This record gives sequence, C-alpha cells and structure tokens, in this order.
Amino acid sequence: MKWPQMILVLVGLIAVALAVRSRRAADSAAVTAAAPVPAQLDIGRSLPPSFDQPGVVSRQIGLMRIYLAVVPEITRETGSETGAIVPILLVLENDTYQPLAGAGLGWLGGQLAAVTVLRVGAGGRDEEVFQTDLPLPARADWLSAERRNFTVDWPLRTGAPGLYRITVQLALPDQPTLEIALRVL
Amino acid sequence: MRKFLHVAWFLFVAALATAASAPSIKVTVDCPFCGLGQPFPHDCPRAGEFPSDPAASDPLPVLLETARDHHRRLASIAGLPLAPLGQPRSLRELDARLTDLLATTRTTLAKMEREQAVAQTEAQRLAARVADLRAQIARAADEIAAAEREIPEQEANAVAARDQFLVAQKSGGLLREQIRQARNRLFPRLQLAAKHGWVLPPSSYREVPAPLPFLPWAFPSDLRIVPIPPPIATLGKLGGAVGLEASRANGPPSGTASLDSLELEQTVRTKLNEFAALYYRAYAVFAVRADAGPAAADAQTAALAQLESDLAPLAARRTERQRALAAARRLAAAERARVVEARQLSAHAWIETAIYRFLDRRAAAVLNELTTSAPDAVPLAVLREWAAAAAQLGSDPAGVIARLPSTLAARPELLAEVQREVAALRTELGLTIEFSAIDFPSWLRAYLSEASP
Repeated sequence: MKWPQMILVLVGLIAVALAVRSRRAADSAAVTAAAPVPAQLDIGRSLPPSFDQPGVVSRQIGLMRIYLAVVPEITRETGSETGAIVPILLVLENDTYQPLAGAGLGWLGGQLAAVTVLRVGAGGRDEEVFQTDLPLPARADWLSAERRNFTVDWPLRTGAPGLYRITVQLALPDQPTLEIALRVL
Repeated sequence: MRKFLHVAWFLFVAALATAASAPSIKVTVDCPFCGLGQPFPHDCPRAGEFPSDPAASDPLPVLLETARDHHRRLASIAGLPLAPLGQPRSLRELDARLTDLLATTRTTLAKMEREQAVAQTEAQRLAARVADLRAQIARAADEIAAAEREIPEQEANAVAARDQFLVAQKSGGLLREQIRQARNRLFPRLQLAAKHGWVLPPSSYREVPAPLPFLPWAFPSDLRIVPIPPPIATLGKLGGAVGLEASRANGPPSGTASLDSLELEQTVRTKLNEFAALYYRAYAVFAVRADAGPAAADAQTAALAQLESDLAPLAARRTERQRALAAARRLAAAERARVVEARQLSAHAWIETAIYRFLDRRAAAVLNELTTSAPDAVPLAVLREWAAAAAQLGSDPAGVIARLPSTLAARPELLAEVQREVAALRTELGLTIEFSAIDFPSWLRAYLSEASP
C-alpha cells in the first residue's frame, strides 16, 4: 500500500472513530433526557473527620463515627427546689457498608465508655460532679452502616449555675475522648 | 300651834284603841256549807245536809278498794314485776303508795318498751340481713354461672390469639431472614461502590443527631402533713342526759305538801285512773313480747346462720371463678396485644424487605452499568441516592418507610415497582398475615397496590 492510500485509510478510520464517539455522546444525552436526575435528590455530603456544632460534637474514630449531643444551655430557677434530667446522647455509627466486630474495633472488656461531668471552676480547677460507666451492649458487633444510640441521664439537682464540661472516654486502646460544654444559667 | 297638834294626836290614838276593843264589830267570811258571805260563825240552814259522821265522809275505803282492784288486774299480767299495795291507813299514805307504784311500773314498762324497740330494730336488721344474704347468694350464683360461661370463651380466644401470634411470628421470622439476605446482597455492592469512591460513607447520608431535650422536674416541696382529725366525741354524755331526763320525767311530782283533803282525794282518784291505764299499756307490752318472743328471734338467727353458711362456699367459689376469669381475660388480652404487635412488626418487616430488595436490584443495575462502562454523573447520582436510602433504612427503618412514598411521589414508576415487590413478596413467602386486623397508618397503605388487600 502506498502512502496516499495509507493516509486515506487513516483519515477514514479517524472519521469513523469520531462518528462513533459523537453517536455515543448522543446516546448518553438521550439517557440523560430519559432519566432526569430529580431535583430533590439526596446524594449526601462528605462529613469532615471531626466537627463541632452547637450541642453536637462528632469524631471519626477508626471505622466508627461517634457523636456526642447535649443541649448547650439550660435555664433553671436559682434557689428553688427544682432540677433537670439532662440526657447525654452518645451515638456510635458503623461508617462502612460492611459489618464490624466489637473485638475487631478494640472493645475487649465489658465497658463501652466512661461519662464524666466536670464543673469548670473560677480558678481553672474543675470539680467532678457526675461520673458513670456505659457497659458494652450484649451484641457488640455492628451491622453494616448500623447506628446505635446510648443515653446517659445526668440528674442536675445541686449543680450551681456555671459552665460544665461533659467528657466521654471510649474504652478503646488509645482511649479517644469527646468533650462538649454545657452552660447552666 | 305645837300644843294643838299634841292634843289632836292623843285624841286620834284613843279613838283607834276604842274601836279595836268594841264587841259590836263583826267579821264576814265565806261559809263552807252555803258558800255565801255570812258573819262567821252563823247558823247555816244547809249544815244538816252534810253528815257529821267522820266514818261516813272518809273516801279512803272506797278508793283503797278501787286501788286493790286495779292492782289485782295489773298483777294478773304474768311477768310484770309489781310491788304490793300494802295497807295504807290514810289517804296520804295511799297517795304516796300509788305514786311509788305508778313510778316503778312506768319505769319498768318504759324499760320494756325500749327493749322491745331495740328488739324490733334488731329483728328488722336481721330481716334485712337475711334478704341481703339471699340476694348475695342469688347474685353469687349468677356471677359464678356467668364466669363459668365466659372462662372457656376467653381461653379459646387466648388459644386462637396464640395461634395467630405464632403465624405472625413465623411470618416475621421469614421476613427478617429475607431482610438479612437482602442486606447481605445490597451492602457488599455499596461497599464495592465505596471502595471505588462512587458513594460516600453511611454517615454522609444521615442526619446529624440532635440533642435530646432536658426534662425539668420538681421536688415535692409542697408535701404537707395532713393533720389527724380529733377523735369523734362519744355519746356517753348524751345518753346520760337522756337517761337523766327520763328519770326526771318519771320522778315523783313536787308540790304535794300543801294539798288539802279534797285535793288529795282528787289526786288519788287521778292516780287510780292512771294506775288503771297502766294495765292496758302493760298488757300491750307483754302481748307484743309474747308475739316476738325468743323463738321468733331464734328462728331468724338460725335462718341467718344457715344463709351465711350457704354463702361462704359460694363466695369463695365466686372469688375463685372471678380470679380465673380475670386471669383468662388478662391472658386473652395479652395474647391479642402480642398478635397486634407481631402483625405490625411483620407488616413493617414486609415493607422493609421489599424496599431492601428494590434497592438491591436498583443498585445492582447501576453498579453493573458503572463497572461495564466509564463512570458517568447520572448513574453515580442514582447510586448515591440508593446508598442514602439504604444507609437511612439501616438506622431508621420506620422513618424511611414513612417518608419513602412521599419521596417517590414524583416518580410513580419507582413507587409502582416497590408496590410490585411488596405484592410479589407476599406471594413468594406465602404470608398469611391478616392485615385487615391491623390499624394501618395511611403511609403504610401507600405500599399496597390496588391488587393488594
């Protein structure tokens, strides 16, 4: 085959390739028109490894996403015989699409987490006002994408107005800690 | 002048002394025979009408004889304690004796009348108690019969409900297994997609948890100690006062010291009349006593004892039957509640399984498209939508089941596909859940197509 014929064949191939490509683009446009993306489509948003927002603290610990949620502010009548049950919400979420074993995550003992409430003193000295342990649930494995809620009720009865720090220390080998503040007015 | 006054005073005193000593002055008084105002004493023409023999004018024998007659009649009533009349020698003694007899007899009769009133009240109470016991026995028999009729019905209901619960539980177990299998197919696909970076982690598709509201509570500061009421005053004083009044009423009349003989005679005659009247009162009292004697009371008491002894085993049996009935009702109600709960859980599991299967099929199709050709924006977006639905369904199935029909309202072909999946699942698993017996929420009915029940 001579050069001019080879050039002609190449041009023809290029033309065919371009035609095929334009046809596929047209097909794709046709699919898009046939199955339009709904306007209210919830396709999610990528969460940062850790973030704080009013009343909620979140940390990504290994394959788990942990949330700690408490109302940021409580108003109580000073000097009266009233109080409040403050629920401390701890949410543990398997942030994968595969099952996770509790032992594989590091929960080897019978404890899930320790919850401590500290009253922030004026001179920087914190006073512990409440402490409790959360036991590991009977089923320590997390199903795919499973989210579990744990609630600790803190009876706020004798606490004076001020700033409180709520600390949750997970019973994992490196003992990761989540902390959130609560102001009692 | 002073000398003249002395002379006048002397003359006045002398005249008075002369007038007082003069025999010609006559005193006029009322005559006891004729009653006219005559100089006393005077020669009364009616003085002869009245016997001068003191034995003929003494009323004592006649009155005493009358008193003895009345006393004999009163003494003829058997059982009436009566003191003897004695031998009064004067009208005054007779009056005193009659006064004593009247007082003691009246006291005795009043006591008997009170006792009869008490006995009558007791008899009425016994009669009411007898009627009440008879009514209780009849009621207990009716209640026992009703309980014995209902107990087998309730037990049959409980057995039927237990069978229905087992069916619903079996269906629920089948559906849970289907959910597990669907998840085991779906989530590895999503895991593969996540490895490719086509979908985000599950937390990206879920709501960030919100703090739970705190619960204010108040200590019981308004707790008050209720003072104990003072004890109720006893009625002893009142009873004593009543008794005192009665004794006063029956006591001897006062003011008898200044009676003259006529008044005394009249008083004795009055008391004799009262003494005669006492006979009729005593006769009535003793007649009633004979009618409502101890035999009648004993018969009533015996009937009462018999009824009580009849009622005791009936009451025990009624209590036992009612306890058994209450237990049967509780069991039937608990079984019905378990059935309702199991059916609702099965219904949710049914819909959840269908949604998982729908998501699995959709995700498989999109993944196939993505893996066989170059990733494109549209299938990626669709895959993320199914990933979001799966992630949310894993953590909040009830919420997703509730929201999905409205979410898919703009795409009826997808909702129809879910409905077809729901219907196919029922046929495939042979679900025998009686969904007509479940109080379906409206959003749950949205999953049932026209062909479904």
